[in-house]
Amino acid sequence: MKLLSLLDRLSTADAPAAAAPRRDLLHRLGQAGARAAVAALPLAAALPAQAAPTDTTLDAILLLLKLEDMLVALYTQALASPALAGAAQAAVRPDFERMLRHQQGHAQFYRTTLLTAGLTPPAAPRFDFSGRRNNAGNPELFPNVLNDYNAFLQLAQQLEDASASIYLNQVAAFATDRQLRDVVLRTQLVEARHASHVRTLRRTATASVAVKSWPSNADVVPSPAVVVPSPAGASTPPVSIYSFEANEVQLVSATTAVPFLAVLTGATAVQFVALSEAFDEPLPTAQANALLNIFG
Amino acid sequence: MTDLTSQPTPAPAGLPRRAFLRVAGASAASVGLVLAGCNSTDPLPVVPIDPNLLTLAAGETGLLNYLYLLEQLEAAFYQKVVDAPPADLLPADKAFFADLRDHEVVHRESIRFALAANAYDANRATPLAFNFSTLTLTTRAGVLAAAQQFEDLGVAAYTGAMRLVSTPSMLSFLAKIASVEARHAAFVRDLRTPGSFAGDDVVVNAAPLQSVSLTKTPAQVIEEAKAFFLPIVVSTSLLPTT
Repeated sequence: MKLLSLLDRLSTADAPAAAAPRRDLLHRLGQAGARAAVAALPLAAALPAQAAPTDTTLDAILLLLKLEDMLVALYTQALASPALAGAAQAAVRPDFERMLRHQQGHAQFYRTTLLTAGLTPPAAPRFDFSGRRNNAGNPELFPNVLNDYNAFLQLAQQLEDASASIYLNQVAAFATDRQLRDVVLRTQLVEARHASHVRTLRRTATASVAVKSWPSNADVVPSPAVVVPSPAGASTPPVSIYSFEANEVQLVSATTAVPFLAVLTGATAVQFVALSEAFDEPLPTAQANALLNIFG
Repeated sequence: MTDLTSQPTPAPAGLPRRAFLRVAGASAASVGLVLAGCNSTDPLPVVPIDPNLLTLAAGETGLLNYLYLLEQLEAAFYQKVVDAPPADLLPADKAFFADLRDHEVVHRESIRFALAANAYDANRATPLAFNFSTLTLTTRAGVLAAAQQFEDLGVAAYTGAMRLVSTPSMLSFLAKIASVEARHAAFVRDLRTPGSFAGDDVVVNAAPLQSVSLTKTPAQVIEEAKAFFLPIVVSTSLLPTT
């Protein structure tokens, strides 16, 4: 079983060379047990027989599982640390306990889905939210996340926003399985509620930070920011996850964009900042994997 | 397509006109009506259709019209609050309600553009007026309660509609809107009751599903929202269900 090395290879998921070993793994792990497992396990009642993951949906499930494992680790570690231990944080601890329960449920769903398909779910990586990758010799990218409430909130906001965005991008991988796609969409909306709440907590904290409950070009930019590879290529500097949120082009078909300047005039005029605020944006797979690899 | 005008009831497909008249006559006779004057030159029986009946179209066009109607409703609500805010609405609230209004207008106009001539109101001289007489919009508490109702209902409506959408580009467009609606819902809930952003009434478990967003069918949503359309009655009878 090479599932952990499979996870490593996911960072090159788009390269054809990486697809063959994954298919081979599915062939070896999946084919023998998949049919019997689908028939035997409880999830079979809710998912159609063809729910055995395809190459693409397997990639998406492993990505979303690692994402959920990361958020479980974030809240588990923070609830056991000074960041959420102070008397001032007593009122918000139940909020993070609630979000932790949700993330645990999401991770459990993906593990059950993999088991149903005859695959062995990977164990959660050992996440390190300092950005040191479990090596004290590495530079600390995100200082005090577990010691300071405001530093914790700043990282939690970025990771919950990223979670909502990663989900939006992965939905397409579930096109052939309507029921699984429905679960993914409904999980995405819970992540969006979490992201909104963490932003509200930052805005209403004693050390208030001017962020709206939805990503806005008017937000105070986080520092340190979670950065990911630029879509323009490796020769350009990494970009903030919020560079994707700044998008102001919305497609209603494969090629047709809403002509906002033409339709938002007169009685329908809006504040310019609303154009990007009104839509959450997907974070592409390459950037999603890079983000997860910062912490685990 | 939608139907706000009277139209003759179409003859059942495949029945010749004479056979149809016999069928119509038989059922009419059974309830005591008189068709004695019928002859081959009389017009087909006409059942007047309620001009206040808005029947949403079939297929993805119908689903999109359904979401368009809900976005119109939300935008109209926030516009009303922005135009006449309750006296106790806080200055910070006002700025956020302006944002909420703007977002819903952007959603509404985007979906209207996507629908183009297929919008149910493409040929209406004036837009549908919504009925907010059941709401208390003169107090902050009343406005927040109403906003939560609209936002939670909107999120549940999007999940129920997206489940039925096949076109990938349309699904990704709708999912981006729904995500912001979920943020709105959490925001409004936190304004009312801090920490209520994702309560057990909107995040549900139904094995094997774990902590997923509550979903409602179009019929359930329209039933909950029907007071806001009166005197118009919205029918979801043609919308897809699978």
